[in-house]
Amino acid sequence: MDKLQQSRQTRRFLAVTVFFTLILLGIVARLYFLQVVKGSYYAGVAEDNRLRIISTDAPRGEIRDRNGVVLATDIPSFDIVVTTYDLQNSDQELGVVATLTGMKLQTLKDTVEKAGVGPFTPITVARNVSKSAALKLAEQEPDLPGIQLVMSTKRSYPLGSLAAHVLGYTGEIGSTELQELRADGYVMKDTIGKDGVELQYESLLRGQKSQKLIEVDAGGKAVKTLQEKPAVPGKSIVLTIDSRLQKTCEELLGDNEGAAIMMDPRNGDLLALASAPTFDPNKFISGVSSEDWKTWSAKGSLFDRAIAGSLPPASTFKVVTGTAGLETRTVTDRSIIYCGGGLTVGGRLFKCWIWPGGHGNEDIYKAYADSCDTYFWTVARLVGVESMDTYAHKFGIDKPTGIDLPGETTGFYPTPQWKLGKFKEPWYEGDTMNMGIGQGYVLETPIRNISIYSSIAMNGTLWRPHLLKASIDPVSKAETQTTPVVQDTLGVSATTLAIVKKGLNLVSKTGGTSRIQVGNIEICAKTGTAETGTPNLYHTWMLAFAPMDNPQVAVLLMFENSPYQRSTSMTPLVHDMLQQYFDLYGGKNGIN
Amino acid sequence: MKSHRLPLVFIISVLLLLGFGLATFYAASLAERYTLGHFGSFYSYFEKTLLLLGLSLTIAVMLQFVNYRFFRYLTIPVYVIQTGLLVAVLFIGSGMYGSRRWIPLMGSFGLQPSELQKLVIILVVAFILTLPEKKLATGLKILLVIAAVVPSVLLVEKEPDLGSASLLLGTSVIMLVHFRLTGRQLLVLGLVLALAAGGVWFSLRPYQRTRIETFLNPQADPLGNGYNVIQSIVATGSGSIWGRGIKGSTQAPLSFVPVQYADFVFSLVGELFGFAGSALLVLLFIMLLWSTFLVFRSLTDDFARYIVVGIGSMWFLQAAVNMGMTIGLSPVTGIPLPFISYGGSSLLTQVVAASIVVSIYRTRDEFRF
Repeated sequence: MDKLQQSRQTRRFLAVTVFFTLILLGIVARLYFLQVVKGSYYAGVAEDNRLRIISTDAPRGEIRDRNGVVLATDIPSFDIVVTTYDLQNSDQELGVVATLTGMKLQTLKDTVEKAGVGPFTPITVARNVSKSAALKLAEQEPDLPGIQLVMSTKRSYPLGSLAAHVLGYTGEIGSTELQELRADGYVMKDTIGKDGVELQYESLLRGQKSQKLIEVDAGGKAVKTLQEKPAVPGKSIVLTIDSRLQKTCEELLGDNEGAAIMMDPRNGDLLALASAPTFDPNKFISGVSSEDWKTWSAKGSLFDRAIAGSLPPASTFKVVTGTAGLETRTVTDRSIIYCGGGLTVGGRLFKCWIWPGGHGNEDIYKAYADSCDTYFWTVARLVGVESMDTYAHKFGIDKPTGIDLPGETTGFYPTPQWKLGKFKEPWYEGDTMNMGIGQGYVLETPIRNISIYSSIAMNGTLWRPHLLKASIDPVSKAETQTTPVVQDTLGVSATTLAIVKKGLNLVSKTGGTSRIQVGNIEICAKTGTAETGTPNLYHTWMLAFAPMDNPQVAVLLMFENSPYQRSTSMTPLVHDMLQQYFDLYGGKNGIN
Repeated sequence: MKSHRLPLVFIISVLLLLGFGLATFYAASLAERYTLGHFGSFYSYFEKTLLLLGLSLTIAVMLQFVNYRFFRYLTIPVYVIQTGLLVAVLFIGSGMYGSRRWIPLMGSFGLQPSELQKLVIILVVAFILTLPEKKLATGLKILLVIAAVVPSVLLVEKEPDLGSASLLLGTSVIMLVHFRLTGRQLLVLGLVLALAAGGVWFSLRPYQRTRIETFLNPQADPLGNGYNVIQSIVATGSGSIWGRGIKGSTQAPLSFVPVQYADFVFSLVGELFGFAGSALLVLLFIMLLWSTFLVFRSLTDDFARYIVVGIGSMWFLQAAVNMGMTIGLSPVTGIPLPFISYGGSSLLTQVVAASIVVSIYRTRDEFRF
């Protein structure tokens, strides 16, 4: 090659080398941008890259009755988790999970997509997988790199439906709950109390998840644990419930609609709180079948009648009317009212339950003993609707009792204004009379009604009805006892209440409507039969407390659309409740 | 006869690059020990590189006793043997990710014929372009170059190793640019290449197309094909100005960046030594290229000039593509960073190439054929 040719070649290689240099300087410029301009940003990304928080569920606290009988506990179960980074073929792998668990593929995909965690963080897609599904999945696990079966726990209620409405149940956190509770550390698929004590005391029962800050390599494999916070199990809680009494109450209710409550009036401890028909909370854990749903909806099984069912209190309301009469000095214990079997007011004949017979001359004691309607009509009429409303309010009929359960409703008492607004009708004297015997528009919840009788028993002091007796620290085992709280005082004189109590005591004696004998304990009782609008179908109530002068227990039994025509037919059942209480607790306290 | 002085700047550039590579691996192994509590894979790469470097440098020194002009006679036989190896590797080769690139030798060592072929093709093209005019017309020489290069490109592409195949093609094209072609002829050559590129796109395997598409938008598939690039950018960027050093580096010891000892070694440099270190490495390559140009300018033998052009172009292409890939400027290919990336065949090829340049410079004024 000649010299000319070579110098042209040299110029070309010079140009090419300059071109190469420019490109390499371009790389330097890009490095400047990445490392100098955005260096701290990428340093942050690099930190996030290597750090992960792994958390595992803490065991949920147990729920026990006052004697230590376990009512709710955690038992081992299987969960399925997905690690998106390891998924080879997500449709196929999630498809297997869908087939085995019976879940929809789309649901699984949504769970994975909406988890909002990094590709290395395991996402729980199914909890409490059945044993057979778990076994089948375990066999296929080697072919499903992104799917893992992990040991977990599930809630169990060893006594089945016992105290179901009290205990409630747990379930997977819902999306609206999650939005509200994300700040408390809840994540998708977490278990949370859904109803009853499980919901009420979620914050006690729920433990703190373990948290491990780990450094991982690119494969998500843990290299080093930088920080570790062990799981703290939830607190166990002790209820005021005595499962033996609870069982008796539920057996007495059977499959009828109704409620049964036993309460210690001295402190508000609820020894039994039963609602029927009932349900098995374990079914919520394993998944409720559509048949169960149908049955439960038809019967209203999930409805807690004890705290949320409002019914006319009927004659059990006469304690309010009597108190109103005595406190307003409309009547005294020496006032006599004649019952000729009825009362004509405004041209209408109001028939006492004894009609066509009559009770004759009645004082307030006898009027309670034979539940004379004529007596209390007269009192209500004389007292007037304003005072009746005042006393209904004093007894708290329109207020919640403050029981530590979600879903409590209040009762209701009518006022003339209310009636005018609602029916465009004026208030008649007959309305006041109806109210006086707990019919018409008055409504009470069973928990309110037993609270009224408890406060009478305690000479005007209402201790807040409650279920939490104590909580137990899982580590120190230290028990924190619940301090009983005075919910309300009636503001009614002791004399008045003594007269009412004496009247109620006569109810249980010979000549009273409900003769009960438990040893030689002085028992106060009252029954009530409310009309339902359907002939020969009633709501029946019976309340009692004992001993009269030193009350230890108040009981309530109520049937909605009762199997009985007369509330007095419930007397043997209430007798059984009291009998069992004194068999269990009476001896210790020196009764008999 | 002029003196046989050594091309000192050139030799210093090469030694600095080799030293930089060793320092990088050593620092990475210290970072690994700091994070993991024990030496890990980077230390073994450091040790193996030391061994391979010793071997390569020995060969490089021995080559100084061979006049480069002698390579004219070796070109054809070596080309035939190499082509045979490229065929063989398709049948007996081993490799990662379903490719067949290595011919197993002993233990974990293997021969990567496509690496050596980079040098062999340079010799072949230089050989063809410098055949006596009387024997071969200009047009025929170009056809012969194509005939010699295309089989190798196709064989390497078949492994599949699209990066190395493109590199063989690219180096040959740049060498042709230095052939006595007029501007118009260059234009025609460019058009032909553009058409060929179109043809290649349609013959690509799906994963190769994905790689190129991923290069265009790595965020589109952050856990799939874009993952490597994103992690590599993160590691590089996290080095900031002065680097995260031995105690601060995490991406390297925790192996967030795939094949960081080889293809993505530049991100290791970026994380450990920051912008200061990365820019210094780029400057070392610029220094290498200019010292190569200075060697070239002093040469009068056409065969030597073509070889030096080829070797310089090969270094540039490899460095630019490899570093570009690390910081998201070029597609992900398996092209190693010359003198830095771990890999015996690559290191040997590059050191031998450098040795040839030195040899050419030293014997530039000796008798000519």
